[in-house]
Amino acid sequence: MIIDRLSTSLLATVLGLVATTLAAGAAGALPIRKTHATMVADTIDTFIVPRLETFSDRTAALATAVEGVCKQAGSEASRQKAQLAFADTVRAWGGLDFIRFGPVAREHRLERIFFWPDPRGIAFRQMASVLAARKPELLQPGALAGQSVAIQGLTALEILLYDAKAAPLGAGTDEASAYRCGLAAAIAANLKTIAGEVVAGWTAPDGYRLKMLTPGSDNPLYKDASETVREVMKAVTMGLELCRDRFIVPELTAVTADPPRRVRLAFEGAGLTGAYLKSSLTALRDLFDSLGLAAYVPADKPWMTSFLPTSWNSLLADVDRLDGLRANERGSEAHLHALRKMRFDLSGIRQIIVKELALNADIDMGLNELDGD
Amino acid sequence: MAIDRRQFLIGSLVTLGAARPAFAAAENLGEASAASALYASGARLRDGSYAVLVVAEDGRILRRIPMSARGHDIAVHHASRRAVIFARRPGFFALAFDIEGAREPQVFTPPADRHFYGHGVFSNDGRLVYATEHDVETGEGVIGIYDATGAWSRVGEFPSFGVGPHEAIVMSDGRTLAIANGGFGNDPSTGRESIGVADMAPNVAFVDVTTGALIALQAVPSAINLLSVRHLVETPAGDVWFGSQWQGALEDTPGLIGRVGRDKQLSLIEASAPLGLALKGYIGAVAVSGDGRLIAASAPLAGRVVYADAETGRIVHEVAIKDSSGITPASAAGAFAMSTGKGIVRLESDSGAARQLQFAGAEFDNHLRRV
Repeated sequence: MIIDRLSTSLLATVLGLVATTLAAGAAGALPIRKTHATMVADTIDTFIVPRLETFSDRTAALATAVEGVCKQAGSEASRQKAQLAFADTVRAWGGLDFIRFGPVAREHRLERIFFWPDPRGIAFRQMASVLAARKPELLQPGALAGQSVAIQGLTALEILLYDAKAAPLGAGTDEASAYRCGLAAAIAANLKTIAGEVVAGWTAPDGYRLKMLTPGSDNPLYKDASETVREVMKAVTMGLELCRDRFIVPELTAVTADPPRRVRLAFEGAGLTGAYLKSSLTALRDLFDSLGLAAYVPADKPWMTSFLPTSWNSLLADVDRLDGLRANERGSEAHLHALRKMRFDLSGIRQIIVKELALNADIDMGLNELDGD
Repeated sequence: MAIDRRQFLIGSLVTLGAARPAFAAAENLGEASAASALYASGARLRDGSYAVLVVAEDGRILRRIPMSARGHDIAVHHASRRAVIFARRPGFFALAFDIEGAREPQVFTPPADRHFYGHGVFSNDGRLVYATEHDVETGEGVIGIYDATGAWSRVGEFPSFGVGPHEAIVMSDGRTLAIANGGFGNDPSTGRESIGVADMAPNVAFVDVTTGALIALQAVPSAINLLSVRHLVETPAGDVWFGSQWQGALEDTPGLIGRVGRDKQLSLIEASAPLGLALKGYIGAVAVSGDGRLIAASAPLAGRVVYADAETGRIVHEVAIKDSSGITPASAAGAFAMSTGKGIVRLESDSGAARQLQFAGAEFDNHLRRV
């Protein structure tokens, strides 16, 4: 069954509007309560696919920019352009990395795009080995795809673009410098390829988008919209957990240790830790909005209506301060307060979504289903 | 279930004093034990706190011991009526308790450079507990050995012969430890996020506990290396059954339930329809029925529990039950008790005869054990 993207989207939207209008009319409530099918359709068509397309565009620009560094012998301007393109790509991925179902789950694409966590510095070690070995075949188009995931994506490219101990990328005429730049270009090209594969995996005529929009007895992946909407809701909770567990808790644990410790956070080398986290938080708020979850605040808990936007705003305000606090006032009361407040807000939003809004929307996610082992 | 919030002091290491009030609920435990089968499970309570609960088949909660974080599985030594619940991965405490409430609970912890994976098992004589652990520095799996006769000191360790050891069971010979090495690790600094998924090499290792030497290692085939073997059970016939969790894309999910042995490579149940996909790529726990005829596997993402013939591997019964993960043999032959995150314990035989108990205010966590 081939249904084009527009008509499927329209159908889902119309059906959703009918259902939601009836529901809203019956309840006499102002906020539109989306059906499960509409939640999923809106998530795919206004969140997942457009953001993936943006990510794909960013990786294309990154590939061009890194190639430019090598062609222009590592001029300052070309490096700056590449670093800006890298930052754009990182931001784009930050708004997507919690969508872990679908095409990104195949062929290790998730780890190939961003190899993290990496507590033992595997990417550093493997990159050092690759640079030392200088195998020319690795620079051939497509060759990296078969290599370790640690050297294929953003983590590896960050090492090459931002390693302060090494000579600037592209500078130097010796074989080692040329190989290093060639490897960076190959990694950027690899990212572009992977991003393209993920977009195609969603948008192809028989792609994952269609599979999620047409659940049913003949669909081996999803039997009904209750299954697809759970997939989306689990991504929301995972995103909130990733923000907390990747950025907030490790730092809080490290600065409150006796004696305080350093902990390496994602994209620290590029100075993009806060930018990545902010992208994730902004995206999660957008996803929350596109799901229309606020409409499912229980009637007997009206305080949530103001608590939720306040928490989202607080998170986004705190994340803007986080890099500065970490750099200049690490371990200060202000730093600790920001971290604790963010942990509180992330946990609070997650709790309300799972225990109140989702339940009220008839999306009942149990303790084991949501986070078992 | 009214729970006094004050009982739930945060931090297991400081809860021993606070645990005493919970003993009041166990006054009639001896009587209850005689009358009704007992089960234990970790749980989240209505106020968001965590506890280990001992419940009776007649629907009563007999014991409630607070914990600072989610517990995972419970090691049980039936002869001495003792049990240990392990914090789930990355876990930093275990709580030893007396099923009859005769002694106060004791908390023990792994060394600073180790964390628990949520599982452990008593030696047959009850003198030791083997816990699955992660070496934070190397990323390798180890089995920590704890003295179960006194202060729960750590008396040794040996390799798990893989990464990410999850459940380990002492086999009926009392000497062989079967270990499900799930294939990927965690780091305490990043919580529960998986590390090294792409390079997973899961296996089931059989180790001589008296020497720590590897007896046999049955690896998951490289073509399905994302199949994380997690949970094990041995049948009276000596077969080891396992339940797995698929770390790849849903549409690529292979079978999840299978059999393995010291001399048998892993083999997966072959069902008429793709079983792994139907079970949403995830098995929460496995158990063998008291009469040894049946294996049960829970699939909480799919809201199903399946029963398989322990000899043929054929699926013989299915239960539709939301968020059920804990599974353990019930008192009736051929019946299992299954617990859910909705506070339900359901007792069901392969004929479909069932009885359901609701424990208000409790969300049962991953594993349920007959105690």
